[in-house]
Amino acid sequence: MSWIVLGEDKGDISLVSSREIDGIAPKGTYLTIENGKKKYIVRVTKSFQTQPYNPSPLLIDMNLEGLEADKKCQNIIKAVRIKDISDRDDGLIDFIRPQLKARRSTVQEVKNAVRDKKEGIPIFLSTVFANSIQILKDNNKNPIHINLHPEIFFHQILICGKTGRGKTVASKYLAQFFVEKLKGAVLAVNVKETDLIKMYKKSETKEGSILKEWEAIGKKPHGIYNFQVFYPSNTSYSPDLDIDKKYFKPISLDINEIDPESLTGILNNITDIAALHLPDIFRHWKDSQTTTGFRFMNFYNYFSSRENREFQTLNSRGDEAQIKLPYGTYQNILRNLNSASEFFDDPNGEFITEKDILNRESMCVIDVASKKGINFGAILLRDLLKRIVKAKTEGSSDVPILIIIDEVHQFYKNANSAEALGDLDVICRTGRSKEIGVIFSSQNPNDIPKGLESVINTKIFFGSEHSVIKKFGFNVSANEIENLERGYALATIYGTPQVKFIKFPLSFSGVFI
Amino acid sequence: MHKFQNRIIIDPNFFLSVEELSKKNIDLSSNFEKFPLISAEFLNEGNLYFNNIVAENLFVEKGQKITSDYIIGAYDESINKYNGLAGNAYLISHTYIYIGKKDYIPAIYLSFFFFSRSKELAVKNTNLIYSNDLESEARKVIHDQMLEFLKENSIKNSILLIDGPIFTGSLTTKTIDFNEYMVEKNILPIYIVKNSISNLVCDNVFSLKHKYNSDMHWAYKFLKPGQRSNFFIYEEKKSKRRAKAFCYLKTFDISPVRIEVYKDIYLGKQELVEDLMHLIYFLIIAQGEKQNPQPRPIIIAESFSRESIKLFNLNKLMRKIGIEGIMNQNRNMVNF
Ligand SMILES: Nc1ncnc2c1ncn2[C@@H]1O[C@H](COP(=O)(O)OP(=O)(O)OP(=O)(O)O)[C@@H](O)[C@H]1O
Ligand SMILES: [Mg+2]
Repeated sequence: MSWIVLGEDKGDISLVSSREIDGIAPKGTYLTIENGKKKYIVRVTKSFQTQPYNPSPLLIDMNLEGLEADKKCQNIIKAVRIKDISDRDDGLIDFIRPQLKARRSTVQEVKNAVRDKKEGIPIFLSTVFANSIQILKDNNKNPIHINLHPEIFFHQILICGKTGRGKTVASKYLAQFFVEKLKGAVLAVNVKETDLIKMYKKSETKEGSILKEWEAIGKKPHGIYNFQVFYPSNTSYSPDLDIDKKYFKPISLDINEIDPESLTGILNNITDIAALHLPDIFRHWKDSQTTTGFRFMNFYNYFSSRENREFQTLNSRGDEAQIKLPYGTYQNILRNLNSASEFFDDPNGEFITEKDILNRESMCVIDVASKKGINFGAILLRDLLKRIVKAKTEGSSDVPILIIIDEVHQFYKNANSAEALGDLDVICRTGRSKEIGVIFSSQNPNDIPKGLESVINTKIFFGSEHSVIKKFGFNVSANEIENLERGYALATIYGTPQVKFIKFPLSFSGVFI
Repeated sequence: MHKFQNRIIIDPNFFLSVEELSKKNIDLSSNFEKFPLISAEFLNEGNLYFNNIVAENLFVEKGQKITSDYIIGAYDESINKYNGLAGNAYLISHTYIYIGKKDYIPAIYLSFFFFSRSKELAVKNTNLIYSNDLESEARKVIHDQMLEFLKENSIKNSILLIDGPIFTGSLTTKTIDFNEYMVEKNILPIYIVKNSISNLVCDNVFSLKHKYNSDMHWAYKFLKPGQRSNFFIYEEKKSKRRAKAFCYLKTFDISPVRIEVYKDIYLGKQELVEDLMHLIYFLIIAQGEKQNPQPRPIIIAESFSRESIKLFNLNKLMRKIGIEGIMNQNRNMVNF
């Protein structure tokens, strides 16, 4: 089974299939060109067939079969050089000479070529050909997987794609790896249905291809052992959801504990700049309380009683001031405070802090899929992020943490500045040194708050609109990207620039198909 | 002084692929049937025998079927010739292919030689041949090489299509020996002649005399596309063994081709040979070039031959051998 090097043409290596090859090596295939002890690994960038003998159209006209030999096809390949395995040390690079033979690379060679990280995150390489996508196989028909460097977690990840293409499943897969292999803590926000809340259970599927994939990476489905779902205490689960109560804990917000800045989470649908004074108003009010044990209602009453809309403020640097809120803003805030009040100070709900999250080998999910849950999540998330940053900065915790935020724009509406993003921005920028990672997931990459784009180093696009991903500089056709099957994605991966199309293994937990 | 190693390039599957084919045997060993001579007319140089002058219809389907019955091979050559001051250099690629199961399988023989009228030069170099008549000597060498190459490499039990006439000016005896040798190996050489001004038919058949410019001209008028003429046998007076059977075959509405076979083969296997005309008809259509009616395998052999000869840079070769500086740069590809 070999291809033969024809030569180099405009920077690409050209190859042609030898007779024993009866098919086209799809784009993305890795080939190993052998030259004695040296090897050159190349990746196919273009692949097509030619018919060297071009049968006569006359015969076709006459409805005749023609000669079998005339139907011979050859596979012409253009490939880029990925890696040389050579002991050359004179600073020059070997020629890839015509007539050298190439064969499909072995799994090991591919791993070598793409700087595979042993103990990394297993992921399948895949390729699109003639509108169909498939996992790359080696000569023994084994699906080829590589292991991505776990460093990618701390350089922030974006997962996008149209609905139902595998974003959530991929997040789960990555989360489980983080918990089990990096022995870290995962904090995920569940915004939709039961997406993330059943990861204590092992995945179930009868699909042969998925079982094979698991086998290829040597894994079996299993639930996450230390798993906890936090849900607002004012909500409840319907019995037909069939959940195991022991993994679920009701929570509530504590006005005494909460960081004033987190209150901006309440302002979700207020675009008014003046509204950003709310934390300072709250801080000032809190500061002036003489007793502890006050409640959210106390603040609400204070706020609603100021009919002149004039407030004392205290910012985080300790400067005092006075402002007068515009009428509309005041009314808006009042309304939002009112509707948020149900999340606060419920004795049936516990108040959680970073201590509930930053535990090794554990995963916590904040379930905000219920009505008004987003507002609850928006406050809690801000508070938790602040606490996590603090704990990590002060060194009170050395547990690596991965934060998974689905539909991030819902929690950070109108957050186009670093201030508005607050600790999220800080986290993204200091991820690597503090071992904090964030996975943003969203149907549309344009939903990602502008300030964050530049700090995200790994981008994974499941089936997406071509127009949407074009601006990310991918050189793919509309067909290729829009027809990606579930679980397949186009990616730029931090530290592994050679990889383009990938297939995620199905998550080992929490997927039932 | 260097010597150019003539080399043979054989497809790695050359022998393997034959085995997969499992085709019919061609048995050429049978006793000769009698050629029913009805009219024989004569001319000074030779005798022409034939039965009736008729046009026979050809059928592609029949021809196609034959492709699956027998192994079919073809030969062609390419020649790179340099006219130099010290003599002429030739690089020749003799190419034999046969139709494999899914591909054409080639064997190629590349040879190089240099003709000079200078005896002194010739003595020094093994590739160098001393000659007074460079051109005809070259033809002879090339022809001889071809016969040897085909004897050694043609697949047994096969049909062998060769571009060009069976007898050329030279090597009559060798050609006869060759054909007889091939018969023993059950290889049936069929020669295809494209352009010819031969007049064997028109000169010898009284009713056609002076009416046509050449036999080709006659055949063109006489045959419709998809027809062939009856077979004629021509025997030279001087050398009775220099004898061939031939017919004209017209595929498209342009000049026909002449098909030649060694006389004894025709007489021994008349039916088979005549059946093979359907095959040739089919193969010309399979090639499908209306301007250049040639059986497909010959065209394939030709292209392999052209490609392989490109592998060598004759100029460089000359320098290496040490005849540098005496060449002029005229380079032309000649197809004999
Ligand atoms: N890696 C995968 N391998 C096989 N099947 C997958 C994979 N990922 C997802 N699927 C299939 O696709 C379905 C939808 O996946 P998922 O819930 O992750 O979609 P999504 O992109 O999050 O969609 P939405 O935007 O609606 O939330 C899964 O239930 C599963 O059946
Ligand atoms: Mg989802």
